[in-house]
Amino acid sequence: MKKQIHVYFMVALLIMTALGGCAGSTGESSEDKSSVVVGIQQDIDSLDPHKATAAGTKEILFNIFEGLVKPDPEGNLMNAVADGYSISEDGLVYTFTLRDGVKFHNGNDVTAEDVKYSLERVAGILDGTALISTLSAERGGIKSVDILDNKTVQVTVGSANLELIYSFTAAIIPAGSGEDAESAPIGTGPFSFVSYTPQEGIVVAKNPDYWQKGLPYLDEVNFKIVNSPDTALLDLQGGSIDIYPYMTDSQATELEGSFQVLAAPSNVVQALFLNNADETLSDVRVRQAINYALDKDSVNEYVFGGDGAIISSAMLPTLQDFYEDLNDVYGTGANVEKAKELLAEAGYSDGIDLEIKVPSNYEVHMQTAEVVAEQLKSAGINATIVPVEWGTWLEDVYNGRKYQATISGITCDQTPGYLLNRFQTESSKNFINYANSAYDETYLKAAASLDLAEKAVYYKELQTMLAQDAGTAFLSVPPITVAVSPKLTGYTFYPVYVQDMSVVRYTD
Amino acid sequence: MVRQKEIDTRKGKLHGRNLYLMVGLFMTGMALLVAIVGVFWTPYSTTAMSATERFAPPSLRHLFGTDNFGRDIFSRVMKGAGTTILISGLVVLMSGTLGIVIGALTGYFGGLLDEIVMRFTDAVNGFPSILLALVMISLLGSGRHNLILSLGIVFTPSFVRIVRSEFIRLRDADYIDRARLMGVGRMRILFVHILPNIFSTFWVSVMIGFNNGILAESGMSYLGIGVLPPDASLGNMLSDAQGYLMKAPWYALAPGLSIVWIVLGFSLLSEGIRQMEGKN
Amino acid sequence: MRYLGKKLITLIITLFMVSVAAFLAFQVIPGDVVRSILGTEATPEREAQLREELGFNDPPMVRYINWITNVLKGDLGRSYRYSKSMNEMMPVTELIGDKLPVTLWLALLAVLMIVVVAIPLGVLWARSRSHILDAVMNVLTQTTMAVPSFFLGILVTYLFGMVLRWFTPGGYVSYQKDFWGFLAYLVFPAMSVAIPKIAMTARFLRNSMLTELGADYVRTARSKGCTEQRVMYGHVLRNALMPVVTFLGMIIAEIVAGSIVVEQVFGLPGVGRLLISSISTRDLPVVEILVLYITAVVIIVYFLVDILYRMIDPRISHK
Repeated sequence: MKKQIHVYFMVALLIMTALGGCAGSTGESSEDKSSVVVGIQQDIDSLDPHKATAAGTKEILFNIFEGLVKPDPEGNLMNAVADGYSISEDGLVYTFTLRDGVKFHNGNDVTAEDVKYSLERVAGILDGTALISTLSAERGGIKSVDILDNKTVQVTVGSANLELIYSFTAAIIPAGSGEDAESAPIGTGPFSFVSYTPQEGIVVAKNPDYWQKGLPYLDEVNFKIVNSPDTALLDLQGGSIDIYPYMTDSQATELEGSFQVLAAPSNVVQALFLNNADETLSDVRVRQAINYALDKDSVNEYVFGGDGAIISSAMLPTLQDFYEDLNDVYGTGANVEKAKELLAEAGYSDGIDLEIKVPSNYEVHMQTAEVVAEQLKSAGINATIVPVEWGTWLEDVYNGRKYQATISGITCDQTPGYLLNRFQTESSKNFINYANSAYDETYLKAAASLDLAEKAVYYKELQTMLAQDAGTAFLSVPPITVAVSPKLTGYTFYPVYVQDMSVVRYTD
Repeated sequence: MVRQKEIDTRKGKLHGRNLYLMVGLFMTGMALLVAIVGVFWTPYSTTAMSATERFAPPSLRHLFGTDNFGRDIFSRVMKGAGTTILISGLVVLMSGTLGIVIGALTGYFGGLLDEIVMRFTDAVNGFPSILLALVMISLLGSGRHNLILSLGIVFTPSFVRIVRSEFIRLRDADYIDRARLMGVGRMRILFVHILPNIFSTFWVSVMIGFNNGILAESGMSYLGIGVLPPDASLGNMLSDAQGYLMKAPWYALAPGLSIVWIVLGFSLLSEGIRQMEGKN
Repeated sequence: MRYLGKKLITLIITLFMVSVAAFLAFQVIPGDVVRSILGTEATPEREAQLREELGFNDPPMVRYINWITNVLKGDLGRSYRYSKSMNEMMPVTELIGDKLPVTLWLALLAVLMIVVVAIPLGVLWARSRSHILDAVMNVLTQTTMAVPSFFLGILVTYLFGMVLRWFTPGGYVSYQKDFWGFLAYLVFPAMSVAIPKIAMTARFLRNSMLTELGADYVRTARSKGCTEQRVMYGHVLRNALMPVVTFLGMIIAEIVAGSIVVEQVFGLPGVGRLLISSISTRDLPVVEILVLYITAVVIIVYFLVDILYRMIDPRISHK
């Protein structure tokens, strides 16, 4: 018996030693502080606001960092670190006046030096590597940044562009902090950075010195990574998260009554992207056939519960001034006869095979792919779904362009031109290999135009070309569906993808 | 002696019948039947969607209910069970064959080759199989073929060990010595004289390997790196179903219980076979 | 002792082989690391800069030697994926150090459950002469063993999390924040890991005891007039437990390495999930160290069990 106890003891000891040093401290209560837990889907990709590229990171960093200007809920720009700016008539010189009393989270005042440093950093003037491509010194972005006096900064750009002002939302950070190895993320936003734990999330706390008086309401926000989109519902119902901004339709219906379920259109254009350079798909009739075979209505119904906005070209319907409704070109339902006819004309009366590569980490795209594949079948298009990891997707599809079709989304960064820009023949982002010289010419005219109304006309022409050439099979603008705890109020949608927590508060 | 007899009965069968074998045969038979029928015919198409019948609870119309796309879960389980069984079968076929060839050669001839192979299989055996398969899948890319290949390789060492030890046991047996004296060729001794005699041992490990294959396949597909949608496999159905646990618990139960059924069937069967062998 | 020395050498060789294999394997893995990090906003300049920063321009051999020397010096490198501050990436040591307690506590709880439940259950089963109990236990353990742990996890979530509401699915709290809350949450995943293993261990112990009961020394002990209690616990159980110890050792190794799926089901940020996400984001420094670490744990546990076994039962060392 003695020996036996000995054995137990040894086994226990062995495990204890392995567990070494992980004593837990009991948590302090946070009852007198108002805090909120927001569920997020992905781990953040960088704590550097200039280097972060994932939409899921930018929407969080929005609370910590601000640019000279920042987007407002109406889709316009509002002054932030700057309290005013003027643009020279030729569109080449921007003069910003800095707001008084804006402080970084470390307590220092924002100076013209900090602004100069931040802008030079993103433009690549500091080390030759631009971090934000629209502001890149080498691509007609920022040429020079000059300090006129300690409240005025003058920025000279390489080429005139009406939409460039949107890029000045780039975060202003303390001079030198981008190269300082130890530095925690410091910005001027309503919340300051507290901690980040990989796979668990990021915690931010109220910035007491925030320049917008009265904001933020909450003392602390915890952006918590949820296990999987599937289980978010359980987390909400169980009370471990208060806000979850990525609800699927069926999840939303289940929460009705117990949660506030808010929906708004997103800024994403979802499409079955077709590689125009592919042998089969290089025939415009085949691409048109695919467009006809799709039943966009029922995709919308299955995946988004009918809350998405159906589109037929690359523009968000919410950008009303620039949007052209082209849903009549192929119709929103399936036209199998027409699809078969076009396929037969193109010499594929026996149908075609289509391989759809889908980034498997996006549940929405995966679900859409399942529905789309089933629809194409009836028109004689034998679609197979190849789920790939995000890294492989970037490598094979987005950058390598070795694919037939893919289902994915492209995000519109507030400027309408951003969506159309990528379909120029030589664009590095033209991953569908769309080639139309008329399109290229029109785009250049649009970009050079300094008159918004004229610009809109060109943009509508571009959308029409893209639709008629069936450059790709556009599906919809998915909705953003947010579940908010009934205890909270003030959640505000933005036309860009951000989670503004500064305006959220508890109802009394 | 009474005690001894009691132990025998308890290790063996109840009332003289081999219940394990009977129940095992019934369960695996059912599973195989459903899976095979599923290859040719399912009550509904496994991919056809229906907007009006999403999340229908089990009924006569849909035996196991429907899923988030309104697809018939019973049909998908039929297909999925087939996929799972087929993959597991191919994995065992691959690793079993490799195991026989490598195990026979190293066990019979010994020497340096044996030493190298054994060190290698030791290393692989020490490594958790799901982890190894995971690493291999990330090298090869996900999908059904790579899944079979990875699991096949991962499972090989255990077969090598069993075959090798059997060959070592039998290579010095009298009847083999006699055969050798009679001038029978090496290959003939290996595969005609020794091989048939190890089958009883081998068979049981095939069954265990098959069950491990089912668990590994469904685990990998659950993690999203095995069989990929829209193909149905019991594992990927479960992972989809997890999100709708509250709304449609039957969606998770159907594929989950099917895995349990298959695995249980095969382990009872192998238990039964072991007892049958013991009796002889 | 010579035997142990030989074993130790094998252990080191295996670890070395795994280190080479892990390193090389992830050099040929599809999917470009740099592009994966930069996402859709990659520009050629930034790609070139990052490639240089991460040392991708050196030949693999040089990189392996650099890497393994650093590892031996205790510098495990930095993650490609997770930031520590604005400009610094998270050191692998810190990253894994943070996740390890989760997995180890899970394993510890599971093993505790196994030991506490399976051993009495096995003894009871072996001692019972009731055919009905025997049949019930047989069916019960066989069935339990056939349930994959992730399905069990789903069932546990449904039953305890949603129907009974004993815990909040996804409501994991970090051990640094609230240790008892952390443990309370871990009970349920540990249960999912433990239940099939309890069945296995109980069966194993029961069979091992039945074998011992048939041994000569039991008859001798009985004929000497030993009480049934003394025969059972003094002799039979003691001997029958020895193979069970080995078995438990294997289970510990399996849980530490194989809790990947259960961590996924319950959203535990342990090493298993870290491994999966690191593989999919091509976070090579993390993957390599994790693979090496898990192998080391498994091998060392086997090694220790081997030593333990020899200490309990001196007969083996003579073989």
